[in-house]
Amino acid sequence: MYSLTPGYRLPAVQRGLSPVETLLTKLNAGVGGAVLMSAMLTPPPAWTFGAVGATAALLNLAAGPRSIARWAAVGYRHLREKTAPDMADDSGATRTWALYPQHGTMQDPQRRVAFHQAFSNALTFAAGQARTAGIQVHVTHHATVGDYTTHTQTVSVHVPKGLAGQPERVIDTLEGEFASLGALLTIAPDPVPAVVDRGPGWVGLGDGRYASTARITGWPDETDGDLMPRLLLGHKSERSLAVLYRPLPAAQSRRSAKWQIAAAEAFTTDKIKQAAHEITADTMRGALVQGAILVDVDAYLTVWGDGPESVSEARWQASLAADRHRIRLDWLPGQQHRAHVMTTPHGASTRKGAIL
Amino acid sequence: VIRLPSNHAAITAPLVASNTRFPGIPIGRSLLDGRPFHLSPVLAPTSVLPSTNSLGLGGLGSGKSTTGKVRARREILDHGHQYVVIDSFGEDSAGGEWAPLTCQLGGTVIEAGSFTLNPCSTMFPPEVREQLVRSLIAAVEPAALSHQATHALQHALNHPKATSLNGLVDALVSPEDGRWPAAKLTHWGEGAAIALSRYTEGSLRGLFDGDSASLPETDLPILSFDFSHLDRNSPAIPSLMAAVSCWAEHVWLRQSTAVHRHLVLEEAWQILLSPATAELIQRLLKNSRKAALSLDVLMHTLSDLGDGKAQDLARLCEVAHVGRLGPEEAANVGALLGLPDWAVAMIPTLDPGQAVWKVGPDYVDVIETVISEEEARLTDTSSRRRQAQQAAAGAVVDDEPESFVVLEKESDSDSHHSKQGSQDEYGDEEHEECGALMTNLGAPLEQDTAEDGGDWDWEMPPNVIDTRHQDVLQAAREGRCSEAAQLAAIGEREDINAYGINSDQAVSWLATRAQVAELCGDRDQAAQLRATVARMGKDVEWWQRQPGDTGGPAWHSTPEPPTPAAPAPAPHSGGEGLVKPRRRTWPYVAAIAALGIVGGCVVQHAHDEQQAQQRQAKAAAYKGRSGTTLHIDGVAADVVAHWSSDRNHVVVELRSYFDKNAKFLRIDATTGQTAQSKREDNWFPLTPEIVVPVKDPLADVTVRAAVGGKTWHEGMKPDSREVRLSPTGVAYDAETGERLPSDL
Repeated sequence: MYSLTPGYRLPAVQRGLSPVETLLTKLNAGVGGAVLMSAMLTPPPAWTFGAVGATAALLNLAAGPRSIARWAAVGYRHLREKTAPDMADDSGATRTWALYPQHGTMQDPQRRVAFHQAFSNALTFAAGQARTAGIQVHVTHHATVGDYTTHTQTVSVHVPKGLAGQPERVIDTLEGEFASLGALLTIAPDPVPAVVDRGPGWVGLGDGRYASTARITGWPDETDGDLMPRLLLGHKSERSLAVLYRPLPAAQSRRSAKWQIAAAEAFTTDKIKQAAHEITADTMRGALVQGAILVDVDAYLTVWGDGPESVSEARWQASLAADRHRIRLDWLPGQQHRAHVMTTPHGASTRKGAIL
Repeated sequence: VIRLPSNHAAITAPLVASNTRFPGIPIGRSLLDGRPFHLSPVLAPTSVLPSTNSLGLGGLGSGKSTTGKVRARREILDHGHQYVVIDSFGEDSAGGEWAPLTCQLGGTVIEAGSFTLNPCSTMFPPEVREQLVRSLIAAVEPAALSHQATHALQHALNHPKATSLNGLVDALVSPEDGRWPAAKLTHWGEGAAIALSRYTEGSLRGLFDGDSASLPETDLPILSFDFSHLDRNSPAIPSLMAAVSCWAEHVWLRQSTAVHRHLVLEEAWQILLSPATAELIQRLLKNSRKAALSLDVLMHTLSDLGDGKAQDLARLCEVAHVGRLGPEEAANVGALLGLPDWAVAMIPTLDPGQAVWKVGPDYVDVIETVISEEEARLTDTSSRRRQAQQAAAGAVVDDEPESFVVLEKESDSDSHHSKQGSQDEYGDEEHEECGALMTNLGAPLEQDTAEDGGDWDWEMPPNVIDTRHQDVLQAAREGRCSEAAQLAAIGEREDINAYGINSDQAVSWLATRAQVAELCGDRDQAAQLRATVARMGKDVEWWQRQPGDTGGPAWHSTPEPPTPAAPAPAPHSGGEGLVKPRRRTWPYVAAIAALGIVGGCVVQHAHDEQQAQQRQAKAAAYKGRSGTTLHIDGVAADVVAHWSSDRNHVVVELRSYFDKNAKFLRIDATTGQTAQSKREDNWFPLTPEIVVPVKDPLADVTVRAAVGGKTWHEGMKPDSREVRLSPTGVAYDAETGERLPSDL
């Protein structure tokens, strides 16, 4: 599994402290000792002890889900994340296309491989359009299922403000690149539906639908490249899936790969896992040598329903399907009112980490 | 964030579906991505589909002809196309497979045998007449058409007597002088005359020797030539095909005004196998684009045709749909049509109504044909067969009658509103035919409703009488062994699917098959099947022992459907036969005992707890000293107790201090210690004290204090009080229990 959590999770004791942590420990000891020594020279007024004790009690004794500290943290997050991240701010250039590959591309293994290679090339090309990382390519798929299924597929490119001198030119260049993938048509995405109702794990939207969104936190190790057709074709419920790609420029990809590989080597003690990391590292190195780059992948899945019950049921079914496909889902508790935006083309301009 | 190399990340791109679509009638749903599939080949741009002919392949029951019929119906209704169907695969007697559809659309069914064509009709132009007669000759005697014979034929056709086939043969046999002398013409025309005599006197009499000049209508929406009565290998088929294709080419295509025409060849392999007709079809195929004609060829597989012909056909048919086929056939067809491997791999697993479609050079999709209920009724032949079987067995059918009601109504309304103008031209014959067909179909309806008293407002239960076993045995008795075996296999598969492989229903089929094998003379197989039944734990002839069986061995061995559970037995009255179940009492006793013990423990524990609590309270209040002031006999005296520090004894004193009245003091403990003092020398009496050993330092100590006052004298009993001293510092009057004032 590719995973958000790094592979080298070790007990802190075994790993030891980092220099920063060591420094903090020494500082703490020094300051504490100094305070104690001064208290021996001149006893402070009695209320000082009370204040220190009360603070300590607040921080330590009541740790847990209802502690004041936690309430404060959660309250702050509520305030900050009360609304969806502002997608409308004019912080860059964005363009959206509808993109449909040729019929049968996903069914035919050779053509599928060729298509994926072409898409990879497009990402590489996009990364090369700016000196630093920041160009975002957002791909969405929405299936409306009735007697027949309607597939809505979009590709959006977002160039943040200040990243490139002429963002429109970059986008035009990339349009040509994506046009080679299939039928490409510029579209203006529908506005994001407003959230009118919230519940545990779902939101009701202004257009009467109910949505529940998960972030995909783990992808299967081995696929024949037919992961997406198997996941998205042939199911009987309405779903949206979107992937946000942030390609890194070549040099940055190489540095990142270097550190990623080094960290994996350094912090893994499990021999098997080490070997697995080595294989991954070899693959990555090979890909980089072949001209590929590294891409940050951020994927979201939204299930839809007519009401809270049906959306919960759809969510349950989606969990089962994800398990079958070896995909890990994180249902983003507390973020539902923002997360559904990510499976619309409007998610293209999301800053990194806007949806946790 | 997951950071991946771009070639891995590309796999996650959710771009899975295409938006390719063709114009035209809706056909079905793509099984690949669920999108609707539309196609009218003639509406597609020429760059995509250079030719509009289509080829439908598929095994028996794969739904290829249903797809063909549904396409025909929609093309006729939506776009006003015209269809001519050569239907050689009718299953039942009612005018071929396409008959219901044809009648519903207001077309005509022309039955081979009941319709005679006149190839020399004056309605054909002369060159067509010649062409047609030539092809008739070629169909029976391909070698007869030499140059000379052709000339003799041409000469005879110009004879005024040659207005029918009989006249033509006469003109061939006894020609008049022309450019060549009659004797020579007679000689040349012999072969052709002999060939044609097969139509006038031979085995093919009755097909082409009519005298009338009439030809089928050319402006009907659909016209079905029903060859289903002819044997599949009949020599009449090539001739008929020749006639039909000639008529189509020279009359129909020239006269009809529809925007597009379709010629459907159902079960086309027998037509295409014959070299004479294959050539005609090839010509039609090649000219189709010019003639605004599409050939829709429906057949089982291409492998029967041989490589060259099959390749030609595959090349000329740009639209192909392939239903379920065996793996080898699928591979052959895939190679011929250039299907990709994944599509070829899907062909053997397709369900009825699903097919791999290839449109143009590179569009391949798997389509499930979507049909409405009405279309299902019009195209489904097996339901009629089932219905006929059940009607024969006198069984009640659940929903058939309704379907026929709808069918009739629709055909009525259809014939009302469509083709009003051409109604008269159909002629009474066709009307009667279609009407007869409809009444045939409608007959079971009346029968059933009559049985039921006309009330159809509730849903009928599913078939309660299973006639399948009887049908199988009936077929076997009549000698149709292979059909019986097939029916048994079908029934067995259905029951295995419905009830499971070890169910009684499935086993009963084994027994039935055994009987079929016996009837057909295969004793070995019968014995083997019976042994199988026995091995499955059933008595071999267990199905014969069903009660109430009168006529011969039971053929019907299906277990009865589960009856509703019997009502609960009435309240016990007599007592006989009803054994009251023994109740198990010991668990209740044990449970109650356990509860009692637990309760006792809890109470005891609570008591202990209370005591311990009191004790704890006392210990908390322990002071180790207690005292009180008493007024006895006019003397104020203090009783003071001190608990020792090792807590194993208490020192109790009775102090009167300096009270002048005190003459005698005595203190007694209940445990027997005593001390006293008297006034001596007019001095105050000494304070008497006792040491009382205690076990529990928290327990109270009770002492009796006696004091003699002013009036006391020796020998007199002094007044006394009993005092209880608690180590918590409190003292009580031992008799009344009231709290005494402290001495402090």
